[in-house]
Amino acid sequence: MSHPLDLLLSRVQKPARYVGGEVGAVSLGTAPELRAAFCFPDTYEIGMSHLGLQILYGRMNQPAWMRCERAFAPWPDMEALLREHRLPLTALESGDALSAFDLLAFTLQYELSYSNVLNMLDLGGVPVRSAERGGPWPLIVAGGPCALNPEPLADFIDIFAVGDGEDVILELTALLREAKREQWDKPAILRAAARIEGLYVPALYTPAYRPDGTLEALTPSEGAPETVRRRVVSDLDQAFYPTHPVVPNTAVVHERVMLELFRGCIRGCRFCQAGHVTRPVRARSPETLARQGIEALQNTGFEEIALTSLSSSDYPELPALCDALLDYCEPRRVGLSLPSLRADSFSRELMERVQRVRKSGLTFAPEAGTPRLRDVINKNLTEADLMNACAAAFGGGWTAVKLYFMLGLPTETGEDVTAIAELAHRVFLLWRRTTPDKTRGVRVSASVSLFVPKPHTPFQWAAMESGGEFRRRIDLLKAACRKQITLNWHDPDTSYWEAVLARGDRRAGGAIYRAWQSGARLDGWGEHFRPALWQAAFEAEGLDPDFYALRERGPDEVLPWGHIDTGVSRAFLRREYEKALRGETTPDCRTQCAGCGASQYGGECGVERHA
Amino acid sequence: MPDTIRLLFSKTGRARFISHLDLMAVFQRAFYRAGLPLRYSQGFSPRVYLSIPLPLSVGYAGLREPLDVGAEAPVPGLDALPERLNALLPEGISVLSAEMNGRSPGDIVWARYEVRFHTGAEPEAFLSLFAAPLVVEKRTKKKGAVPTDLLPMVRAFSCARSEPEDGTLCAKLELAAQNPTLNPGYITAEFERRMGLMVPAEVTRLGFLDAAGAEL
Repeated sequence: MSHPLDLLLSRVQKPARYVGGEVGAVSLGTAPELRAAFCFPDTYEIGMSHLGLQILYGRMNQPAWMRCERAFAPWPDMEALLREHRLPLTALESGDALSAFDLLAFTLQYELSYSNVLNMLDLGGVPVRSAERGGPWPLIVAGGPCALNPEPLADFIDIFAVGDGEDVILELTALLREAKREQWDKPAILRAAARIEGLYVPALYTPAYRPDGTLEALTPSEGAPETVRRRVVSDLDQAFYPTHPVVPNTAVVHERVMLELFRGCIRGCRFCQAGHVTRPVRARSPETLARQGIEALQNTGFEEIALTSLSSSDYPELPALCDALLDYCEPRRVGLSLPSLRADSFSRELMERVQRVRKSGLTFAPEAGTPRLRDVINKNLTEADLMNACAAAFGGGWTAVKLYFMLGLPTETGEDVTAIAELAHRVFLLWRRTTPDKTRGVRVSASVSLFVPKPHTPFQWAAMESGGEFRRRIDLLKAACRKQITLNWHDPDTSYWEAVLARGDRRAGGAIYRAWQSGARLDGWGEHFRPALWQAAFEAEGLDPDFYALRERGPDEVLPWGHIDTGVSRAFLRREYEKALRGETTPDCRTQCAGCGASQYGGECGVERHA
Repeated sequence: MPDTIRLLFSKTGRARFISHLDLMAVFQRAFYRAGLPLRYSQGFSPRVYLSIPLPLSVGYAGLREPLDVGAEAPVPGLDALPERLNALLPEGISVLSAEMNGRSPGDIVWARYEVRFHTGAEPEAFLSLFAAPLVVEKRTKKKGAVPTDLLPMVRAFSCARSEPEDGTLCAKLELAAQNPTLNPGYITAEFERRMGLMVPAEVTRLGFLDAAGAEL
């Protein structure tokens, strides 16, 4: 028995997720100068399906003087055993406690993983609050989409990385290497980190609040910048891509090579955070993609390759790329999958080409049931587009179509809600008219999420609907849905707490701490989520969660994330919000520049580089 | 009879926590990467004919485990295959040998195990388990748990303090491998029950015997 953990592993579910040893995992050589652990605040199965983990893990293992390992949130059965036997949470590669590392780098993909961040630190033997950690090591860094409103986690995280991480993380680790050699104290490290573009050091900023509870100012000190500018990797052809990713030894959510076509989005869907905070569009060339994809397939043995982006049909060379990949994939029985297709550019010929190996279901996202509401959110998709795409799919033999919608979008009326059911029904009727074989049946499903206003979007000022109102609208939709439609919807409590944390300020940190202490864990998992803990935690802190989730912000309000500069201007977002309320659309970036501000980063900004 | 490649592999260290189904996927990916001309099922979602006839329980190590995979035709150069595959397999999984069309897995009758108990107890404490009929509730596929005497499924047993002494008691067992199967977990659980405390056990399957008691 090499490790005390081994004796516990026979007593937990899915022990393979705690042991490492996978193909592609870094091997332990001589002791490096700097030890980092990439910490994914959810289970192994979720984390190992995430391309960002593979990119940053590979990137942080490039310099010979540092080594990066991995750590994940344990399932409650494992947590109970660790606590009972007073064993720490460890990184997979070395089996060392998180407290033994110099740098713990968390990714914040989802607001409801915040309690897992605190829990992993605590289980790893690391004091949870920054102020309670005396010396500099381990230094706690966090990046990912939720770092765009870092304030709720400001008490726990030493440094946030804003934007693309692959360059800034190595600038930071180079700094830490120097700091370790020269034995800097923590304040000196933080001051130096704050001078690196894209790094935000919350301890150097002091918030002040107005009597009405809104933010008055967030004042920097010790030379920290007024605003923290998002980092952008401008040339993705030159950027690191993990052609030797870690291949899990146990089933994870997505077992496939993920090929990122481009970052950014030319569309301006007003609810979408990703589409606004990753601008401008930066594409990889089809030659680079084909080479990297084939290499990764050879190195992993995966049976599927997925082409990912925010809207893959906006990649101009998509057909050529698919052909190049299929030449390799088809004889080897490797499936090619294309999530994130827009209905207005769906081509049956393309899909048939792509799905020659394995045929999957099709998903389209009209998001709203009426043309009026689709204009409000700037979806720029007509019913004719959707029907043409579905007719092509049904005619081509597809028998399952999934439609994504959102409830509670700004200005939504009862008519918009019932229109979702009617639209789904018209898709079903279309199947009856266009299918070559009615005996095979069809599955038309409508998946309904609940609109959560996110920072750095045109809807960042908008109020969210209350849980009661969401329940009423879900009931209205259920009543309107014909029996041929499979209806799924999200849980209003989950969406509410996601919204509270998404637009929270620094005071929310006290409530997050209390919620975690009272047992909040794995809040993104329905079976573990206990909203009552969160309600009690906010009350105990004297905070009203409705203040964060349900309140419409004034046009001049100081927003808790206002000092994070994504490159898209506040004036543009406000203009877009006002246009939304008037039902006016904005063309995509290739049709006409909307002046969002992201052109300051260079890049294509919608212009087709390879045309 | 279609052509089949028989591998013997070991599964030790951290890899012993890889489940049977996950292990099949691990091998399948290694076979793809090695570019072996494998035989696939026809149909909607083609699958390799891959079989690990005697799955190991999660957490058990195995030193000579058989695996069969269907080939399109006899594969030449099998001597080099173990090394080729080992470069592609995760830590703890190691292919020992490869041959075409080995003996039928049905010939396996007994499995040899070594069990290390983390306890200061003397060998007699363990050996006394076999002094009289050993009746436990044994799970069956059809009838649920049924009281069953395990002794007819035990071909041989021995036990001694480990040499050099490392705080463990080392038992060797030869148990029915299939039809019916006796998982050593029944014996370790019964030992724990009689000792009245948790006794961590490390189980290693050493190999297999045919009906005549010859090594396979």
